[in-house]
Amino acid sequence: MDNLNKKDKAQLKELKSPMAVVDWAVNWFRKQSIFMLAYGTGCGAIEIPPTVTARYDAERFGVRGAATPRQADVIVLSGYLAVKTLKRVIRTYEQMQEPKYVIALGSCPINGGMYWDSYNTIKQLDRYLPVDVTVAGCMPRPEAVLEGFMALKDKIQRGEAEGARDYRDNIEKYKNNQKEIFGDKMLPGYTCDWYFSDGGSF
Amino acid sequence: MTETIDNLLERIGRNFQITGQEVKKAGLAALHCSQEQLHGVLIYLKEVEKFDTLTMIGCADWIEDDYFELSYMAYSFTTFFTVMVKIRVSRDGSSVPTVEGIWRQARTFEREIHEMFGVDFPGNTRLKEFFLENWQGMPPMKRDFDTVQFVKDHYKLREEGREGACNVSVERKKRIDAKKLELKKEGE
Repeated sequence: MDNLNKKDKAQLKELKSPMAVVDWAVNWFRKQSIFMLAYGTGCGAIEIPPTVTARYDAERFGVRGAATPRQADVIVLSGYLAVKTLKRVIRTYEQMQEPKYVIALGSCPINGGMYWDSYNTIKQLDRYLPVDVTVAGCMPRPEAVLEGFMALKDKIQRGEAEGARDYRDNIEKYKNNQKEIFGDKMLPGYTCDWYFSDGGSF
Repeated sequence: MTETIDNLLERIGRNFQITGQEVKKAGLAALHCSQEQLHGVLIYLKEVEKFDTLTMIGCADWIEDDYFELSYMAYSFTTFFTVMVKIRVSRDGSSVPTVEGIWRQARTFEREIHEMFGVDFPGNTRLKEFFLENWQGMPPMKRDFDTVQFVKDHYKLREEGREGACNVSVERKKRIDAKKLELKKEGE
């Protein structure tokens, strides 16, 4: 109990059932160590190195890099996404194991940002992938990136970071949106077997 | 006698029909020639004047005068000169034989120009899609391509406002007040 801070202790006192305590504890452990897959798509890639290195030292908060998608908990999409990139990002995301989260940096994934009239970048990332936390800014500085991670940790602790479940439940919607921009060059089926084995229509 | 870029241009002018030339700054010269002369000039630059590398091929869309201007930039590691060889081609259905045989990297530059401007390069061995996947319709870097209309047709822009949108300055003040209160409590 000594490692718990005030906020944690206050939350614990409010829990009623034993199962709620177990859930709370699982979430508490999950949020302590977040392995990040930094997918440097746009200009935000330059903000990741200072975030994880000595000056801002994200590892203080349990955030560190992961080598492969399969070992990562969170994918950080830093900046605008071209259509070609988005296809790779979706494949990467579908390879990750649950629990998995998405953090989008910058205004471009939110509403297109300064590339709103570009022919080749997507305008709203959350139409194609379930985004848990978006950090606004152009580009957000490492402090803001860390703030985003803190927000994600809060969300995990509250049990609300359910992007992966949302993706699974609303896969029709997401795949339809993806098909709108990929056309007949959709992702190959094996990237999400769990969907296609159920007789998906793509 | 030290080699100057003026001497170089004079030698090129003796051997080829150059329609225009200018020295932009020290070590950088531009010369215009016809499409038929292009390969001759480039081979001359590479084999005789030892211009080892092709730095890039640029393309500019002069829509008012109805032509594309292709600039082949060759660079020499012995004299450190850059020479731009410019040609003009028509905007519709233009085709320029590839220079892949002279400098191999031209293959990639031409591939990009083919995708972005629609200029054809017969003889290029790898003229397939590059940045854009599954692109149909007008190449996007042409100036008559309406990018805003394209975005409206193909992407959904976020509508103004959202459910539960808050006033940022009000919310910020609320947060600061709450933080102050929290700190005050901790202090007590």
